Amino acid sequence: MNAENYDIKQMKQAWIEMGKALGIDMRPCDPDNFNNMKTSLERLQDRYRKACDFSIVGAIIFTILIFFMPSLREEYRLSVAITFAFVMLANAYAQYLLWRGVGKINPLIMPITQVSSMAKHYKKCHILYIILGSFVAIPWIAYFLYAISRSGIRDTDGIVGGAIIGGICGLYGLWQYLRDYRNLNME
Amino acid sequence: MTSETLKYPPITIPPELWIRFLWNRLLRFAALSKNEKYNSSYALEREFKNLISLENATISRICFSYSSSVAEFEDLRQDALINIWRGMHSFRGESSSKTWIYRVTVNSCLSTIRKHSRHQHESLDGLYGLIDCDDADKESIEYLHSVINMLSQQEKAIIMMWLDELSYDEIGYAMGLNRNTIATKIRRIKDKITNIYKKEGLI
Repeated sequence: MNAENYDIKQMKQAWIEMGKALGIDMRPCDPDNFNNMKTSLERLQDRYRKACDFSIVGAIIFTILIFFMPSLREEYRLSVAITFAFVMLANAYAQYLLWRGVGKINPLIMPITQVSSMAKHYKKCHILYIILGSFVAIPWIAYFLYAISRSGIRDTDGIVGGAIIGGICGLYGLWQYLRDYRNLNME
Repeated sequence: MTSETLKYPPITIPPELWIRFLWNRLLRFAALSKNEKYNSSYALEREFKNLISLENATISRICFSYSSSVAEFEDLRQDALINIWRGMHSFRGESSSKTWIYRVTVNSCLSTIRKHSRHQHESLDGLYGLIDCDDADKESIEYLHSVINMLSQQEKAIIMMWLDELSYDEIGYAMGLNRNTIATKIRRIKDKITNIYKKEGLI
């Protein structure tokens, strides 16, 4: 195509050509299959719900496990367990809010502007939650490591090593989320 | 003759007759509702298939414009088809089928909230491989896709409907905006597109 002659009027022609060129076959159009399928939005909703359930169960089970952890000294047990339960319950609440929020999006009855703004809003909320959650989780991990190191058990090297690797991965993820959040704001 | 002697003796229906009667009513009701359900679902299925065969190009174009990879295109298209099928029950013909298809498909694409970085490393060549036409047309479609991708999500939706020659009222209905706002938005998008081309030295 001669790029110099390309203008808005020619876009219409290209648009028509696009429809003809995307000759997708009709095989996957059997509606019987669609009854049992889930859309990406529903899968996302399920993920939030499962994360919420997991956090509540985790807050109960792991708090008990941490409280009775032999590697922790007596004076740190209660504070580590309570802060852990707080982090998990805060996570559960955030996941619950996201689950409820995403569930309100209805592509069938809502106008495009509403769906667009809602989708953008909840995506922003998700990214903000990840960023804020990281800033809450990192101090807790640091405090947990401190409490473990005070116990005088020698296998802390493995825990510290794992935390550093996990921290690097987490920071990389955080950087990606920050970039996504910036892109969303620019849009 | 006393009034008591005029009374007929009560007819007693044996319980097995009652049971048989109720059982037959139940069977008849079940068969009827099954038949009705089957007929209505069959009609809906046929209507859905007709609609898709009519608007297949529109659905594919919208999903293609919102995609940056083949996997994303397939996901978006499948989600759009699922949503259209689910919406068939509630579609009451308040707007044209094309406007409705636009609204559901664009909403479906927009509500597919995904991480931006998931497909960004994939080359667009795979996506452009789906275009089945001669080289000149293929190039113009690629240009169009890249220009549309520079617009925001809402602008994309508006320009696609404008390219498909939907009226301002129809675009307004799908977008949830009034006619004047749509006219202003379209003018701005056109300016934006012209600027993109000027900036890239294509005009």
